[in-house]
Amino acid sequence: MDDDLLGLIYELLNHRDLSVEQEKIVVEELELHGCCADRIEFERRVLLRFREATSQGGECPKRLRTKIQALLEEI
Amino acid sequence: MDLARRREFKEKALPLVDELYGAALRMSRNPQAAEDLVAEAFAKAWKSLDQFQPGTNMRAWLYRILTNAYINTYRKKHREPEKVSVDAYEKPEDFHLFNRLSSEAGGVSPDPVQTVVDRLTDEDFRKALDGLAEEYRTAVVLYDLQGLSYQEAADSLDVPIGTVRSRLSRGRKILQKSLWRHAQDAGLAPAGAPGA
Repeated sequence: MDDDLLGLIYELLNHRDLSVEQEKIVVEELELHGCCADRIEFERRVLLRFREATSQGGECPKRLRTKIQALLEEI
Repeated sequence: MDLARRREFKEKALPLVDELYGAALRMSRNPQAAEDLVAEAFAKAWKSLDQFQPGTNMRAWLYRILTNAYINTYRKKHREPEKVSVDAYEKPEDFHLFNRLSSEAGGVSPDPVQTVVDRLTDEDFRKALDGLAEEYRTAVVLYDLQGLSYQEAADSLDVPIGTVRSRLSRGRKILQKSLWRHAQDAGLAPAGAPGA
């Protein structure tokens, strides 16, 4: 399996750095690698689980927000 | 500093506190350190606000300051030893979690999303990320999790785009190997060496 396949799938999943033309090229490359829809869905789900899991508990503590607001007021 | 610029900073930067804190927490793996980093980043940004070009991306600018604060202050000050992943001495290049799990690809499950990915806990995913060596973790946090572009991540880390890409590539594969181990520990995947 090509070493860059995972990178190609992530290019497609993250999408934001791709133009329409580039996206088409990535899809074609993935097809050339025999990458199936199940694989893309699998990687999409893994990425989402990472995002969900790491966003939990990531809310800024109230005291930090208060500190920053005070800093912006006083300078 | 003119009032309009200060007002713009407050309007645009304050709503980003939560996500910057989340990024700092994933980079430092320590809530108190994350708090200190975000406070430091805001103080630096506020003091150097005249260097910010109006109309450019304030979010990317703040991430750059935050990442610099992490690299230059926290890591060096605390001389935190690089956390070496158990995978650091192994080659993750040929490891594909999907192939190990999917019967379609010679693995063990007809639906690896339902039987494994959805049954791993959030803690499994967090531990996998936290166990990643720092240079890979920061790249993954900035690009895959926080949604920066390659250029923004490269600017934040002060490395070329190619370095960001290569760190992402290796980091993702190490993460997949780590998930495989968590799946094994949870009895969701067969025991044995991960191999290729």
